[in-house]
Amino acid sequence: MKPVATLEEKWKLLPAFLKMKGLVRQHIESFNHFIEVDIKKILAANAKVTSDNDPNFYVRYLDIRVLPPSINEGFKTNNTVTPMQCRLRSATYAGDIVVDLEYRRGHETLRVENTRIGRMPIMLRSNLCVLNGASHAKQAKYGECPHDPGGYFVVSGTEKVILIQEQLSKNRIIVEEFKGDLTASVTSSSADRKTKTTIIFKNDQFYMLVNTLSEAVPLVVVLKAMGVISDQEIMQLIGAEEEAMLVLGPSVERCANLNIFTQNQALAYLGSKIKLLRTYGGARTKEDMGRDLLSSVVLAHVPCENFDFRAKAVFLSLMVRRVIISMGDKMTDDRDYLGNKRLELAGSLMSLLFEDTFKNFNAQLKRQADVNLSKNRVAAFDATNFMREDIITNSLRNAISSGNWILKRFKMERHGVTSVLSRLSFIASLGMMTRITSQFEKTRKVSGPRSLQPSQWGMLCPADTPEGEACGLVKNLALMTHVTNDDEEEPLVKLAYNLGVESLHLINGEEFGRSSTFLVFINGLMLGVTRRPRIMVRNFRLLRRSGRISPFVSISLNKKHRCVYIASDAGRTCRPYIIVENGKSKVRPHHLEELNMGITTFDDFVINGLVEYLDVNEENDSLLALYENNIEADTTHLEIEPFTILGACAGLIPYPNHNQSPRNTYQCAMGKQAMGVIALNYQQRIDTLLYSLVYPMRPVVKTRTIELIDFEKLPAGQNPIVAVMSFSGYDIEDATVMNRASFDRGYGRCVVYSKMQTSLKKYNGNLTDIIRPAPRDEAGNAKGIVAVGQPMYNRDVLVNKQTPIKRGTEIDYASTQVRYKGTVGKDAYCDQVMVSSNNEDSMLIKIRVRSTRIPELGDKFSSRHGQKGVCGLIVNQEDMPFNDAGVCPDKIMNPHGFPSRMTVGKLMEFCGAKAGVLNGNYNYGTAFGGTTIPEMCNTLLKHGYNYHGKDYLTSGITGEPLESYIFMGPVFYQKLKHMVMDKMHARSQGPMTLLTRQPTEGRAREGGLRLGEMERDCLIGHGSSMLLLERLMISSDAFEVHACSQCGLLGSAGWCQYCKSSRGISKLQLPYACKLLFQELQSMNIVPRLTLQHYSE
Amino acid sequence: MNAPDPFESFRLEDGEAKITYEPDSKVPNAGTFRMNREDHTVGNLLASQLAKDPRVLFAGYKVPHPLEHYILLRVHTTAQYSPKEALKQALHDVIYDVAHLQSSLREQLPSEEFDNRMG
Repeated sequence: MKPVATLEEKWKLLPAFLKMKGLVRQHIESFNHFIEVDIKKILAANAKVTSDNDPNFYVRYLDIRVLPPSINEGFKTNNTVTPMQCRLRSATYAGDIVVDLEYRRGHETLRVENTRIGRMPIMLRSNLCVLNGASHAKQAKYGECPHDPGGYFVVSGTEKVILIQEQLSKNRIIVEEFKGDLTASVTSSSADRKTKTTIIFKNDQFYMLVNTLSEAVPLVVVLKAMGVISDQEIMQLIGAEEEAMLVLGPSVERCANLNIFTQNQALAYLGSKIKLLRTYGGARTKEDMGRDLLSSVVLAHVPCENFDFRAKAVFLSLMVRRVIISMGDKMTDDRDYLGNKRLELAGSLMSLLFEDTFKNFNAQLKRQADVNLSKNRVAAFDATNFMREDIITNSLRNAISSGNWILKRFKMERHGVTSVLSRLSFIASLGMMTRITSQFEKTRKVSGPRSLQPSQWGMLCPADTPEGEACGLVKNLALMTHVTNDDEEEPLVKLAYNLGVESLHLINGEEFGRSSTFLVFINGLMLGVTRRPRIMVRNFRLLRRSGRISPFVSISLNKKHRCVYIASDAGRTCRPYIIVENGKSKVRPHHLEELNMGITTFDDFVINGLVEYLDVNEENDSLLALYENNIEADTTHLEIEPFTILGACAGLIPYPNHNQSPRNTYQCAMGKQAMGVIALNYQQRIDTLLYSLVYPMRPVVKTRTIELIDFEKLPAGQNPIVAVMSFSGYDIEDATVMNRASFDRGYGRCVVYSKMQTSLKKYNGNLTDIIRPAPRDEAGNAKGIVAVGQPMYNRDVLVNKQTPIKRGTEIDYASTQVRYKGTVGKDAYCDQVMVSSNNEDSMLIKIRVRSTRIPELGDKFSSRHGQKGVCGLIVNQEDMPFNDAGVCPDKIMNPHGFPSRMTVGKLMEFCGAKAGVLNGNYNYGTAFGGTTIPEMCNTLLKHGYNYHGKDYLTSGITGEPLESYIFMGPVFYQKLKHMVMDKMHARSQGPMTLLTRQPTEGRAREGGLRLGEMERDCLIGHGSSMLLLERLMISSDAFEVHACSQCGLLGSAGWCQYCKSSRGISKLQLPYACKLLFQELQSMNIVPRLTLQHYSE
Repeated sequence: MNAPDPFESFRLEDGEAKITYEPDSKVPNAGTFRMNREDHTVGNLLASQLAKDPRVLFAGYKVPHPLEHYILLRVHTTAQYSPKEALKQALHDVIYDVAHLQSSLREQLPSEEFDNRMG
């Protein structure tokens, strides 16, 4: 067969995909969904507030909207607030939440529109944000970086990200082995309840367990309570095969032994097993209690109207059936399988929080109504006057800024949901937006949730995870992963019925068990059965491809379960694939041409049925081809581009597929510490700490990912010439020898900006903090605030602030100066001073301090292959080796870094970069592709260089040639944030802590260096008692006390107050901490007595 | 910052001698010169020049620590000769060699270019 025109350029779909959605589309779309859909649903569910005291009173919400961001400034509202303003002024980027409502005031019914009920923090670049759809010029005007991904909030001036949370999916059956017993469990989640129902097979019998029951109850009893009375029907529902019946026998017998034959008997039995937490609302019969249990607790997500338990009974029997199936092949479900996981995004977390706080808001309103309506007042109670805006505003703001999601409704208490957006480097912020945290405890030593799952292929980055305790629990999204939002369920249900699904209410037990029928589920809910599953699935997919239903709805066939699963719920990971039909890709070269010309966008590919999204479960039901020549007759989809299995951070690595895998993981962690340009607006930002590299370079060996994520526009590193050789011995153990002249030329130079901040507060009695002109010799100038450009030394006054103190009627001012806290007080300058005010109405002063740093011994550098190292020696250029073209390395790296690390990718980067530099072009090191070694080496050859990239070098010291050829070329190196200057610390004398009089701890407090327990053990073992005494007491907290040898208590000089005598008083030295302990013991009525003895005795 | 001042590699401290000589206490006609504020440039040149002298039995230099700017030059000569004399001779020869290099360069290059290049 003649090969058809190839789709070499199919990767071009990827930039189109990213252009349309951006890298943090999951966050933004989820937030948009919340603002546009979820919030209205929440309002509809909590639309009415009534009062117990007046049956006529009501408040009914009609509509809710969130308005674009604004800021309150005293009397007026500023509607043109930008994120940058909020960052600088420590304000919250939020918009008003307004409702339309109808309510009763006295005897009239009123309608009010646009009543503000609170303020909603707005996600940057969401539909409500001013940056949405803004041109680059406009963004520049707003002081925003066009490459900033958005997707975070600005709360009180800090940028906060709601991290993606990973959870076990709700409403799905999971079969597991628990202490040797097989269990099937479902975590049900309905709008107002979360319960867990478990089926256990124990001692040859089936039991059901829910939280509110005191013990596991026999399963057949539950089924009977649900109205399935006949044993035959029970058998049929669960499975009428021989094996199933044998397993089920004892359970049925158990029920009979309990003398339960009718529904009422069963209900009464269940009712008697309920944990009686409290009895209220009068006496209810056991039957009623059992009925309530079944309807609201057991399988809470399965709807049940009028106590019709049919659907629940079917679901429960299915759970039993799953257990029986698992007995046969010992195959249990995998909790760690990605298809069983859901990712919770900003939108769903915000909607949980908003619903909770909105309920609270309504409860407060109701309380006010109850109080006010109980009294007869002249003025009628007006509900709009009692709507407290601050409830919603504060609760949303506090939750985002603290990261504590506390919902009383679900007894949910989660901490660390949000975190401050790291602005260390552009990659760090980007990496944070794709980060997924798990709810698993970090301390548990289980490998399952931490290991890389095959189902994570293409969805989660295999390399990007931290080392250490969070390893494998914190993950990152791959480049093309999309996380779904909720889609409407009803139309899908109707569609399923139209496609031949028979409702479960119309079928009897026997028909469920037939091997030809397949059960149909939608979002964990059983719809019914179909006899032609394949056709149904195909038709369903055709409808999706033709755009009749949302592209993110998935449908998959599971032969083992004999089920068809339809999913439209939020939090599934999915990624786009090219559709293949009849062995041919539906995307043809002309489609890509159209895309190139800008006629079509990625969305057109989806709408036209050329590309579709598959979630993990549907992937398992498909046959994917990696490249076009892999397509076989049964192939259903074609991968767009293999390198998209990596995430944004791992995408920076050239030739990662040639590296040992942990090296890529290390680079993912280090890329986030690399200094570079953090954003195009960094000159306007005033961050607590901001690093910026002085001459950043684009990497010569780049990847497709680097182009896609704009790393070239905001690079973090430089391309020094590296020679792999041994030099001087100061390059062992990963140290590198550096060229002094390179540093003089600006290699590795960086600027560190730090922030000092203060505000002038207002006090009672019309008093405020004031700023006084600074004394002449201090840095703060005549205005009392440091001037831009002024050099600063440690403890210089930046703001000469004074705070009022009331002394009777007089008012005094005490100095509360802000002083510069620099490490080594050299080379720091005041870079920028900002004076503004925020919504607390106080004057806000932010001062940005700048210092430039030249690399020094011990500063940390790393290449993109997990090869980090410190600067071990700085050598004059004349002593460095050079080649016959006069090229001198900027950096010398020890060859021992290679054999054990096996970073072949780095060797390839050497060749690629060298060839690129000689040829004047950039080379690609894209994963599973990129410029090939022969190509690059032939370029070297063409330019008169050695094919293998080796050079003839001459020693700069002796002037003689080096004895071997040296592998030399440019490599992209990152300067990491760890610098000696920030860490160097030593102390001889210094501050002591107040309480114990021991030296302070830590560099920031100029603390001492502790002689720890283990060091102490060494000295004890060595027998050097005088040294011990000196280190632990004399140099620390020696204290002279006078002790009485008669009573053993501490006295004053020459006098024992206890013995009332001066006899036997002796002077001795104690650690102050010891004296403190004695006094503390005495305060607790414990007498510590010293027994004194002469040293010579 | 912590970096040492750039002039430390060439400026002698007040009262610091440029060169000192320490005779070897065990071996006759041997000794070590300590040259302050010098590095490989002088060390290597002198050591290799000394090695050419047939009366020099051993000549070697080292930079004991890269952050301390001095070199140690050890010279061992025959009985009729002394390290000091050898060093003097070597210095003389080196200066001659350099002068020779300069003059031959002047012959080869047009005088304008030579003046430009040699400052």
